[in-house]
Amino acid sequence: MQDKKVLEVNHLSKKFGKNEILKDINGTVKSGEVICVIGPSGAGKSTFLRCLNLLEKPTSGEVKFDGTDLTNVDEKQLINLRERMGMVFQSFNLFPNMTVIENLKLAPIRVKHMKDDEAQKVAMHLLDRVGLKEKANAYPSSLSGGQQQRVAIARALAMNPEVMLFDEPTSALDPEMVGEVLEVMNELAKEGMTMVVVTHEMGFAKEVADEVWFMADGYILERNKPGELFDNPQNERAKDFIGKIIQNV
Amino acid sequence: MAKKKIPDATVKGMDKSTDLVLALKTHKIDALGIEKPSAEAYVKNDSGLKMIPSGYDLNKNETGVAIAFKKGSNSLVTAVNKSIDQIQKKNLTEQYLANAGKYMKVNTVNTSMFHYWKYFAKGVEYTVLISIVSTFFGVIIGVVLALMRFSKQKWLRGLAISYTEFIRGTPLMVQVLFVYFGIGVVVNIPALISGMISVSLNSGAYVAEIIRGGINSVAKGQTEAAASLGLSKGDLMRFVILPQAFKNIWPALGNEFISLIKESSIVSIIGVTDLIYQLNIVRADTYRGVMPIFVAMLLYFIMTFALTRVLNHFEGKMKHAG
Repeated sequence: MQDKKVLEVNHLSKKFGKNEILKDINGTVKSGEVICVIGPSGAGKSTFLRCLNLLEKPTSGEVKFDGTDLTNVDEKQLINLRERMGMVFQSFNLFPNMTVIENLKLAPIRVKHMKDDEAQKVAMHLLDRVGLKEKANAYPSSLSGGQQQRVAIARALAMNPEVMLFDEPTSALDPEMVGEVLEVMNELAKEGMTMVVVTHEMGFAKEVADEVWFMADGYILERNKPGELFDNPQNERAKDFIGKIIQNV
Repeated sequence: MAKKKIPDATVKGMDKSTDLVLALKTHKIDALGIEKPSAEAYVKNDSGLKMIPSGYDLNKNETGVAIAFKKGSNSLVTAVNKSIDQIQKKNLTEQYLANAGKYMKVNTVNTSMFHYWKYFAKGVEYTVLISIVSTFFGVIIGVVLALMRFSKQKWLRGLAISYTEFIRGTPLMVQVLFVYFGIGVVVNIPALISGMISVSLNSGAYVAEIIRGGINSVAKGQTEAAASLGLSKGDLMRFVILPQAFKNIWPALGNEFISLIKESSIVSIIGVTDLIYQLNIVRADTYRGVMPIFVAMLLYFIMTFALTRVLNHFEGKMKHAG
C-alpha cells in the first residue's frame, strides 16, 4: 500500500501564450507521502499544483491519478476523478453565500449523494477536528483568515479525498494565524494523508515532508529528503534560495 | 410658406394645432399660421386669441384639401363626392363650422386636475400594465440571451451579442415604430401589444447584460473551488454562482425596472393611452400648459419611488442572509 502511486507526472509542460511556465516536469507521489514544493516566486509551483487536478490544462505531458491520465478523459470523468482529490487555495475560496456547515455539506450531498443527516454528521466531525465546531452556522465573512482556511481544509476533507493539494495555504494569512492552519495540516499528515503542499513555510516542510521538491524557472531542479535538501543543497539555485531563506529566519 | 411671405420670421412646427395654440398663448411663438376654419374655431372659444387674415394670395394647389381613401373603394368616393356637392349647394359650411367649434370647445370652467383624475388614472393604469408585462417578458428574454452568451455554440453566442448590440445601439422610439408598423405589415396588432412587445424586446437586451455582468462578477476562485470538489457545471451555477451573482444583479435589475417605467412613455407615439398620451389629452382639453405635465411627473415619481422602496426591502433582506 505504501508504494502505490497516487500521482504520476510525465513530461508535463504548460505554456501561457509564448510563456513557458512548466518545462518537462516529472514526478511521482506515493500513497501516504507528503511532498512539499518550494522555490522562488514565478517558479511555476502553483501552476504545477493546479495541473495536478487539471484546473490548468497542461500543454503537453501526462498527469496520471490512480493510473488514469487526466489529460485524456472527458469532462464527466474528470469531474468524477476530481472529487477524489481535495484542494485548498491560498485565498480559501469558501462559498460566501453559505454557512460554514453548508459549505462542508454541499459537495457530499450533491456529488456523493449523501443523505443530509449523514453529511451533517461528517461535517460536524470534521469541524470538530479543525476546532471550529461552534462556528458551524456562521457565515465565512465573519471568520478570521485562519478560521476560513481551516474550514476550507475541512470542506475538502468532507469528500474523503485520496490526496490533498495545498496551494500556498498560509500565504494570505496574518502571521499569528499561520500556526493554527499548519497544525491542522500536520495532524492530517500524521494520519497518513497523501499531500502535495506548495509552501513558503520551511519549518513545516522540514518537519512534515517526506520529500521536498525545489522548483525554479519551470523545472524541478532538486528533490530530496528535507534534511538533505535544507542542510546540503546540491543545486546552485537551491543553495542560493535556501541560503536567503535561512538568513531571513 | 410663411418663410416666403414674411422674410424675418423663424418657422417652428409642431405636431398638433393644440400645441401650437398653447405655444402662442405662452409666448413661445409670436404668431400662428393656421387654416381659416381652425382659426375661427379657436378664436370663438378663446377671447385671448385674435385672428388676422393673412391675405395671402394662394393658388388652388397650395390650399387644396384632400380626403384619402383606400384604393378601389369607388362607391365610397362617389358617395363622398355627392355629399360634398350637397353641402356646397345648400351652403351648409357656416353651420358646420359653428358645430365644429362647439366640439372643439375647450374646458375653461373647471380646469382643476382633480376634474381629470380619470384621465390620469387611465394613463397610470396603462403605464403600469405595460411596465409589468414588459418587465416580465424582458426578464425572460434577458435570461435566455444571457444563457446564450454562456453557450458553447459560437453561433448562439454571436446571435445574442448581435441582438444586444443592435437593441442597445438603436433608439427605443425607432424600435416602437418599427414593431408597430413593421409587424403591422404582416399581422395587424393593436398599439398596446406593439408597445409591450417593443419595450420587452428592448428591456431583454439590457437585462441580459445585467445578468451577464452579475455572473462574471463572481470571483473565479469560486468556480475553481467548486470544480475541485467535483461539483457539476449545473450545481456550480445553481448553488454557488447564481446566488452570489443575484446579489449583484438585483440592484442593477431594479434600476432597469425603474427606467422601464419611465421609458415606456415612448409608446404614446403610436397612440397607446399611457400617462404621456393622457397628459397631452388633458393639456389639449384645458389649455393648461404646465399643470398636467407636473401632475404626470408626480405620478411617475410616485410609481418609481414605490418600486424603489419595494426593491430596497428585498435587497436588505438578501444582505442579511449573507
